Amino acid sequence: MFALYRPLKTQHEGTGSFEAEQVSKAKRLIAWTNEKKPGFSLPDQKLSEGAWTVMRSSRPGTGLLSWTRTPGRTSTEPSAQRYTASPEEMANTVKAAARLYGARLVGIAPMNESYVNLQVPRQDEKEKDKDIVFEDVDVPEVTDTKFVIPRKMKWVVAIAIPMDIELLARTPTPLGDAASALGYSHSAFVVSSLAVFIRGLGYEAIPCVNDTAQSIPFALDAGIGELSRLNKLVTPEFGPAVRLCKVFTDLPMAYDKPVDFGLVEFCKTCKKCAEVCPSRALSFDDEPSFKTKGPWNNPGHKTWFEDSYKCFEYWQKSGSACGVCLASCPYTKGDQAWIHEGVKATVSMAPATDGVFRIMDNAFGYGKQRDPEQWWTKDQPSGRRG
Amino acid sequence: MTNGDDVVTITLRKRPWWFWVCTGLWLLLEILLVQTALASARESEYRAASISWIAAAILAAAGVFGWLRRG
Repeated sequence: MFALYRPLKTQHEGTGSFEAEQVSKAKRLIAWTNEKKPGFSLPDQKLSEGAWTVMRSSRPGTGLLSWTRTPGRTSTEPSAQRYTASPEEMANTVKAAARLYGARLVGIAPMNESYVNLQVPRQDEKEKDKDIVFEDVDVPEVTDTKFVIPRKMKWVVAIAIPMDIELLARTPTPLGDAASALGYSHSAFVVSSLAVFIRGLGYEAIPCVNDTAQSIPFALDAGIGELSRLNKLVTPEFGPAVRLCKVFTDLPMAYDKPVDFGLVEFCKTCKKCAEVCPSRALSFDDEPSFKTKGPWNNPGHKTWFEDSYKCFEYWQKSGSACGVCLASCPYTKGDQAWIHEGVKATVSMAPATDGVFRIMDNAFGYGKQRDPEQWWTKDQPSGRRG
Repeated sequence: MTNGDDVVTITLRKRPWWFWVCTGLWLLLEILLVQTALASARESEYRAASISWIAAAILAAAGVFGWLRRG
């Protein structure tokens, strides 16, 4: 029977909590720190914690991720002025603001209720899970029992924030985790700033990072990238080394269109991510399919479904959020060598060359783990991409 | 040109059009390889940088040989 794309209950549906494993993970991390295991020193671990700060102080509906906050006006008071322009001009204005705040890739997608989660999970024992519902209201609402999205919010600003590829090259270690953490914290800053900007133009805006809805389908619809063998988004510019976030709004904008830059054909040949995945969670199948691997997968679309349970289990064993697949993808490259742009253009037009470029990627030594200790002395951030 | 009884003949041989096309392509490739080598080194991709330097050196040697071999 054909399964339809469905809203997930929450963003972690079906993968389990790994609570027992997290206790032993904490003990392992302390032991590895004492043993001076590369990439697990105290500074390595605390770098990641520091990078999480902004994201972890942001909860859906409150603080930075407030659904209504606007400096200078209350949540119920409408904006005094409303900016109007053509949908194309509106889209350009919003994209320019998003880029200023730190977004590197921005697209506009139509709202699709099936991408929105059914619930926001509780943050502590005292709370309850809250339902996410669409209603015919003028402003977003967060009550004790539910999050209300106005039905008039028909536009989604999909945003990609590049990860630091120097840190990502140190996965699977806590040092590598800092790349994800920083991406999320940047995301929280970007969407909260953009939401306040949009409200200032006289419209409503709901900023979301990983919460509230699935980011990948919106990013696909907005033309930011394509779905890959990882079952994650891969962008032509930064590969899969991005963190995604989004802003829902009622500000009318011209929609972007999905893109095809030859990625699916390349993934069919490449398989590098599946080969290097330490947990063997990624598919080796030649062709994508509709067959899911478990309750964590969302059916109703054709892709290479991953075994998320194996993946998250390895997170506990390795004491990190892994990310080896992201670091090894041939699309994860610095942006300084001109030749890489030529290769991407060739791949998009001539799939027959995919195998050659896959071999060259290995021959040139890309995607290998770098020495974690070297990051502190040699590969400091220096205005490089990401 | 004469110098006493000796006669020295200088022959000016015009290079064919395709030689200049090849030289242009060679120069473009050389620039691309050197840029790749420098960029890869900046991005700490040392293996890629080394391979690019070696390829650039081989291509440079081949170019010089081709230029000097006039016959």
